[in-house]
Amino acid sequence: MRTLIGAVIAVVAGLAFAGGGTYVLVNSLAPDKAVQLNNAPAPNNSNPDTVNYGTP
Amino acid sequence: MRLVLPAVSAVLALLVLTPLLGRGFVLNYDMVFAPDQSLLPDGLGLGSALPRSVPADAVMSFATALLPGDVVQKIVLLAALFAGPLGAGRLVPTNSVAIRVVAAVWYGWSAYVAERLFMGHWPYLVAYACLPWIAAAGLAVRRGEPKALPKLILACAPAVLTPTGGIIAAVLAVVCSGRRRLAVTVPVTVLLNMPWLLPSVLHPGGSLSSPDGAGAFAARVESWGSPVTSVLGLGGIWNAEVVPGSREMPLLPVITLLSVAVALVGLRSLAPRWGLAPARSFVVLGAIGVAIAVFGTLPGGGDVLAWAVSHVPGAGLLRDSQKWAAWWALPLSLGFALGVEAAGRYLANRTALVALAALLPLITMPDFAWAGLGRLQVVDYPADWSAVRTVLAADDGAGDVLALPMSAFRRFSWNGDRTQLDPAPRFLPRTVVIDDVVHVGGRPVSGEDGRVATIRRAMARNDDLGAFGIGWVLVEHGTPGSVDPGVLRGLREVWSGPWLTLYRVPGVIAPPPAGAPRSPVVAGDLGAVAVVASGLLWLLLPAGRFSRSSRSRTVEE
Repeated sequence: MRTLIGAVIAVVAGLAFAGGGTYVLVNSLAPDKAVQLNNAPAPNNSNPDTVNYGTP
Repeated sequence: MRLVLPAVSAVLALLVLTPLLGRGFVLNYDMVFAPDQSLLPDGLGLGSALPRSVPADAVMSFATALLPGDVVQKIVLLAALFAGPLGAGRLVPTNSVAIRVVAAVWYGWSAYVAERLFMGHWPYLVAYACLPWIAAAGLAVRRGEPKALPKLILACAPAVLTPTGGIIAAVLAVVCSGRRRLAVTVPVTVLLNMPWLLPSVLHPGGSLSSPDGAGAFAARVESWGSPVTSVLGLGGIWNAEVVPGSREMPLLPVITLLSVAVALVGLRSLAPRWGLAPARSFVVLGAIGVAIAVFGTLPGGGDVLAWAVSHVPGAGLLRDSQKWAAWWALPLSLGFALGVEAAGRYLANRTALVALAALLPLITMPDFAWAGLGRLQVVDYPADWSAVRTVLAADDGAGDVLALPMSAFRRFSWNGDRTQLDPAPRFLPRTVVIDDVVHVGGRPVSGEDGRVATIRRAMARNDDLGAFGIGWVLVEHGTPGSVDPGVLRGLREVWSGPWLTLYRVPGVIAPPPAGAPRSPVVAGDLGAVAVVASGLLWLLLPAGRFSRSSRSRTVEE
């Protein structure tokens, strides 16, 4: 029983830790508009005459 | 317990596709489905363009004759996302269902699947889903099991819808079947690939491509790693726009390297279970896939690739090289699962380890779920498209359709301004000529269709389009690009709506330029169909009843 409870706690804690970490890391990658986008190039597909297939 | 693996595979597929299961179409980048796709010369590779979507278009025209196009699309996507993990789980040489689940999740919830789905490369997803089944059937052929060859044929059949899928499937089939079966597996896989192979070889304009695309379509760095870490983690598609945000997570390269290390440990236990030769070839093929995928990013690799693409017929298939990482997906998934199994022997709490291993792909790429958290959506074509289709179907006159503005891709507000391939060639019942120049990062990459280049020059001179086999001009509204009014001067407006206007080109319409010769191409198609039909019959009929072993057994009885 103790092993089962231990396993459940370990899985839940692991998931929470990894999920929370992922959320924080992904969120922290979002550019700070005030700082990083001042001199950014034009966004994708901003040219009215062409449709961009993609951006390398 | 037998239902655990199918259930997990179904959950994985539904986690992604549930928001897309309503009526309507998913149209993004290269993914185009239409309500009722006509069987046109281009679908068989008989047109002026290179047969990139052959025989997929022909197969879809038959499928949409039986079921509505949107239903066909959902069946294809669901089948691909379900069959892949199920096959990978079944392929693991273990008695543990939990370890099979680990392999299934790693194979089904991979960056390769996510990025190719968001890129609209559904035939690659189908081929990817076939790979575990091909490997299983190939190994059975190697062992000389009864009815293994028809199983191999049927496992390869869905994968050969496009050239890339066909090659990926054929090579894996040959490798897993072994050297002693080459005399059977090579002819069979070549025959299966005939529908695209013959039109490519016989294409009047050759099958060389523009060198511009070699660099533009090279594997891409995700996060702070290198292209190698991206590809080892099954990501690295060239287009940054289709990469899930979680692939930029700083921890990702570390997780990738750790998972590869675990996989390499696990793969060591493959040889005792499968035999050394098949295990080694299986892993080496995965390594070759990674090497091809990153080759263009190595010093000098881009130049070699650019030269090959523009001088070696068919080498254009090496562009967008990350697709070849599909061969690495199985060794990674199976190896990781077996590595977890091996590690479990040294741990008291095996359950937690297996659970964490199985959930790790979902935790590290949560934004694949729910159609990429809303990245993909279901839409309906505006009524204009059906109206134009009806007009074109009712007219017996000659002539192909030219789609304007000259651009291969569209962005319509009715599809959320998503980048999508022009749907006209698949929606309309006549051959539609679209521009084959694509813009990547704002820079043009030339196409290969000589007819398009001729028509572009003719439009610049305001020449008669009828002389080039164009009988209709379709102007698509609400998408970037402009149409020169001079091109439309003298054309007769036949139908107009908010999204489309159809014009008739007056005068004599010349026949379209000849594509690949019809007879050998159709013979190749029939050959491939015959192989698949033979495989099916062999599997279903009581073949083998008259084999030597059966006869001797009967005599003994």
